[in-house]
Parts: sequence; C-alpha cells; structure tokens
Amino acid sequence: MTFFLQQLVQGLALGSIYGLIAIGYVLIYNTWGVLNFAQGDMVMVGAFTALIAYTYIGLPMWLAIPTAVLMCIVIGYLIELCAFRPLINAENQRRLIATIGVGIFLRNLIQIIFGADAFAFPSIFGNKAIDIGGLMIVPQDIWNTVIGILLVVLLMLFLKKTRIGKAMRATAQDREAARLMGVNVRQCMSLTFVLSSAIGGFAGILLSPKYFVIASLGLTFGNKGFAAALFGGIASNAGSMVGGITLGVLESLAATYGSSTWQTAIAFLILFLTLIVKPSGIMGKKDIRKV
Amino acid sequence: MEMKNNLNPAQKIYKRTRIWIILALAVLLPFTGVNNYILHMANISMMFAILTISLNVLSGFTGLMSVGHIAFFGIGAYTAAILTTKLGMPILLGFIGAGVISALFSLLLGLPTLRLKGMYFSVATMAFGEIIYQCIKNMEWLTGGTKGITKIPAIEIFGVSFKSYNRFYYLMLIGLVLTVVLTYNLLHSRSGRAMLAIRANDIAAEAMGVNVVTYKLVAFMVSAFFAGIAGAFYAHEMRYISPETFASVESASLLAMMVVGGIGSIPGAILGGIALTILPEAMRFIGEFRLVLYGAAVVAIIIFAPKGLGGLVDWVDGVLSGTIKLGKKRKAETANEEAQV
Repeated sequence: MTFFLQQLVQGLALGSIYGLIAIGYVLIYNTWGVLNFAQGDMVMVGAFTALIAYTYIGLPMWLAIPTAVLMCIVIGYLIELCAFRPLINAENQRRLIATIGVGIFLRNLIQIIFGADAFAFPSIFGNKAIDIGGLMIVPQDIWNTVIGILLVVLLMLFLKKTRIGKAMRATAQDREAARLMGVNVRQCMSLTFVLSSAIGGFAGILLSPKYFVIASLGLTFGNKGFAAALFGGIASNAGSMVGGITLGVLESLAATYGSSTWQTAIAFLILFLTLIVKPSGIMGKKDIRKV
Repeated sequence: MEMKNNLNPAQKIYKRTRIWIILALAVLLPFTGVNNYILHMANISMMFAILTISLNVLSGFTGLMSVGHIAFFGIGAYTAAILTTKLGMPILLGFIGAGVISALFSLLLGLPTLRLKGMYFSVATMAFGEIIYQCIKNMEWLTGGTKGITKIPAIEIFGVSFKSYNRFYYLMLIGLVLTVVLTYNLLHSRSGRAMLAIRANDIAAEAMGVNVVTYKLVAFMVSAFFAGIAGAFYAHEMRYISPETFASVESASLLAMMVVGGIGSIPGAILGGIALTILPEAMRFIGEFRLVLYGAAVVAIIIFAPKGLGGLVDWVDGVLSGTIKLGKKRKAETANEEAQV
C-alpha cells in the first residue's frame, strides 16, 4: 500500500508539470486557433534560462527563477512577433508549419550554445526525502504539485475575475465580436502568447532539478503535455490539469508495474484512445461547427 | 488569360518541349562525369522528391496535415528489407509489399481518425509516427532493434544488376517520373477534384455530393503507398536501415520540403525535395548552425513566400511560354489582391 502511495505522490508531481505544459497548449489553441508545436521547446528554453541565471550568472535561487521567467517572457514575445503575428490571418496549415519551424530553430540554437551534453540543475526545494508515516517524500515533489495546481487555479481566477482576463477570454471566443466591444484584440493575443510562454518556461524550471537539462527535453515533455491537453480537452483550462495529473499517475504506475517501455507508450495510447472515443476530451464540450 | 495568337515561335517551341528538355537533362546527368557521391545525392534527392509528392497528395491536395508522414516511409523501408532479407522474396515483391503494407497501415489509422477535424488528424498522425518509431526500435525479432537491418540486396531485374550508382539513378528516375505521372493524373481526375474540394471546404464539398470520408481515405492510402515505395527505394539504395532515419522528428523536415517547394505543387515538391537534400550537404561548412538557419528559413518562407519554389517555377514557366507578360503581371496581381481584400 505504501509502495502504491509512493508511486502516486511521484505521479502527482510529474502530472502537475504535465498539466502546466498542457495549459500552455490550451491557451494558445483557444486564442490563436493553432496547435503550437513549439510549446515543448519553450519548456526546454525555460529550463535553460534557469540554468543561465543560476549556474552561469550565479544569481541566488530566489532571484534566478524570476529572472528565468522574465527571459522566457522576452523570448516568447519575440517568437510571437516574428512567427505568429505575421501569420495571424493565414490558413491553419501554414501556421502549423511555422510553429514546427520555430521548434526546430529553438532546439538547435540551444544545442549550438550549450552543446549536446546534459546539465544537472540543483534542487530548488531540497532533495532529502522526508519520512511521513512510512512514505519517503521528496520536498521537490510536494512543491511541484502544490505550485502546479495553485498556478492553474490562479490563472483561472485571473481569466474569470480581472478585466484583462475577461478581455482575453472574449478574444478567444470571438475575435470580431471582442473587437467590436472595444477589446484590444491584438494586445490580448500577444498577452496570451507571452503568458503561455511564461507558464511553459516555468514548468521547465520546475522539472529541471529532477531531469537532466538537455536540448531535446522539449520533444519528450512537449508530447506528454500535449497528450495531457488533448485528454483533458483542448478547449478547457481546468481539463489540462486533470489530464496532466491523470497522465502523470498512469505513467508512474505503468513504470512500476509494467516496464519503462510502457511508460513512454502510455501517453500516445491515451492520445489515440481520446481521439477515437471522445476527441473533445474528458472536460471539453462537444464542439459544433456552424456552416 | 492565355493569348495563343500572340505567342512567338520561340515560346511555342518552349511550350512543346519543356518537359522533354528537363527529362533529357536528367537522363544526361550521369554522362557528365560526375562522381559517385553526387550520383548518390541525386538518388536520395529523387527519393525525397517522391516522398514529398506523396505528402502533397495528402496535405497539399486534400488539406489534411500529416505530422508523422515519415512513419509510412519507415514502414515501406522495413517491409522491403524484411521481405527480401529474412523471407528471401524477390525484390519486386518487396516493392509491392512496401507500398501495400504501408497503405494498409494508413487505412488502419485513417478509419477511426479521418472523421475528425483537421487538427485532430494531425495529432493522430503525430502519435502514429511516434508509435511506429518505438515499434521499430523495440521489436528486435522483426526489425533488429537499434542495430537495424544489414545486407539488403541490391536491385536486380532480369539479371541486370542496379548496384552501381548510375544504374540505380535511372531506376530512381523512372520511379520519380511514374510517381509524377500518376499523381498528376490523379489530381486532374474526378477523385483529384474531390480532394481539392475537400481542402477548400469539406462541408461545402459534402453538400455537393462528395463522399468526404471516402476521398480522404483514398488520398491517405495513395499517399502512404507512394511513401512506402520511396521507403523501399531507400532500403535498396542504402542497403542498410536503422531506426534513427525514421524518428518522428524527420517528419518535420518532410513538411519543410513540402513548404519550401510550395504546398500543393508537384514541380515544387520535386524541387523542395532536391533543395533540402542538397542544401544541408552544401552547408556543411557552417556546421551545426545550418539547422538553426533551417528552422528560421521555414518560418520565413511560410511568411514571405507561401507559394515556395513551385510559385517561382510557375512564374518562370509563365514568362517563358508567354502566358505572363513581364510588368503587366504585377498590375493584374495587385488588382486581384485588392479585389480579395
């Protein structure tokens, strides 16, 4: 039983990071109407900005993390400016390919700067396991879970309660109508993109103490986050967290009771089943197309 | 638009002979004394051209974005390799098997997923690409795992060996020409028009009586068939295959070939395949940096030249054959754009 709980805790920690990555896909998909294949690479960039701020510049941890997030925001803005904004009215195919191009660009740029080696990043909240009633729990896991869930709740509050959040949701719902209501649509779309870049980058920072920081990090985690987003419902913010945690727990159980090959396969299995059984995801509404 | 009466004799000759001139140049290439390395590059380029055309049938003509197309290439290559090495079958059967098995896989993937909206289909192909890659890597009893399959026989037809690069070149050229002719005819048939209608607006197409799901499946299977054939060519040209060639990341470079060539253009697909095979080789001197440029170039082409190289070909062709008058064309185009706005 304790063994099972142990796996559950790890799954939760992993899953909440997946959820954070997933929400980046969801935000951009709802506002821009395009799957951002570069979101995973943004997660990787986040891990590297933390590495730059902490290891290379030598900032203390409490300063390094905000600095890293700030760098992600700037990079996100540049990507939006160069690759997304010019294609705002282009057909879906072209935008999709542009995001793939951005992904290739980021991955290889980081690889040139840092090489193909993997870097270790020190633990942010402590690495020593604490014994709680027979469960060996690493503080990093607990904090990852708490921060992940808290961030999604905050984000949803932000979107629901604040003026700018409401404007962002209006933009996502209907760009033309929002514009007529006096919403600065362009600004809202920019803001959404930058926000999801920051969240993606932050997810990268959270996962960097547990996994090696390497340029190909974005591919693996991007796909996982993406599977989580689809499973939860690509149109639902809360769904992405639910999807992320489900995927994280399933993966960690599969790794213990099955084999590690199963662990990599499970994300894609979930993806396939979701597509076939309920493409709108577990928390998504059925989308009806008007002709 | 076409002003037949105004064509001067040179333009008339050009219109009649353009295809044959290009073919003649292609046939003569091995006689110009190029070395084996260049011939090898030419073979690989043509193989990628076939692959890009196959992707174009699905994504360019029918508008279904596949982000895992390399999987069908992999299935073809491994089918051909397994049939000829492990089962000792004749090479021709290997080729047919590569195309057919690949098309069967597309049917398997397409039946549940082609009812989905565009984006979901892209997602399904991505997952499929990853799953196939993992299968190739892990099913050691069948695919040899990470070690791959070695000693794939060279092609031999009626006792004539196509082992040397310049003989293989002609085989590859025939393959490419056949692919072009078949896809060109497909595009200009009833099925092709149905596909174009689906790309433009699937709901409108359905209202006009096009069976959307059936034609999507047809496009998917045709596309997978040619990708499988390209895979078989690859297996017999390299004579050694390993999983890394078919990693799902490679699908992105296929998409790039299609985009650089111009989405939905057959001559563009050929040029895109050739350009993106040769460019990375030619750009070796700048080392790792080429992949960064590659990513940036894809974005730039999407933004600034959505018609890609295919658009350039159309323009040059139009000027040479006299359908486009230099100078006048600009005016017509701007008028067109204004009308669209």
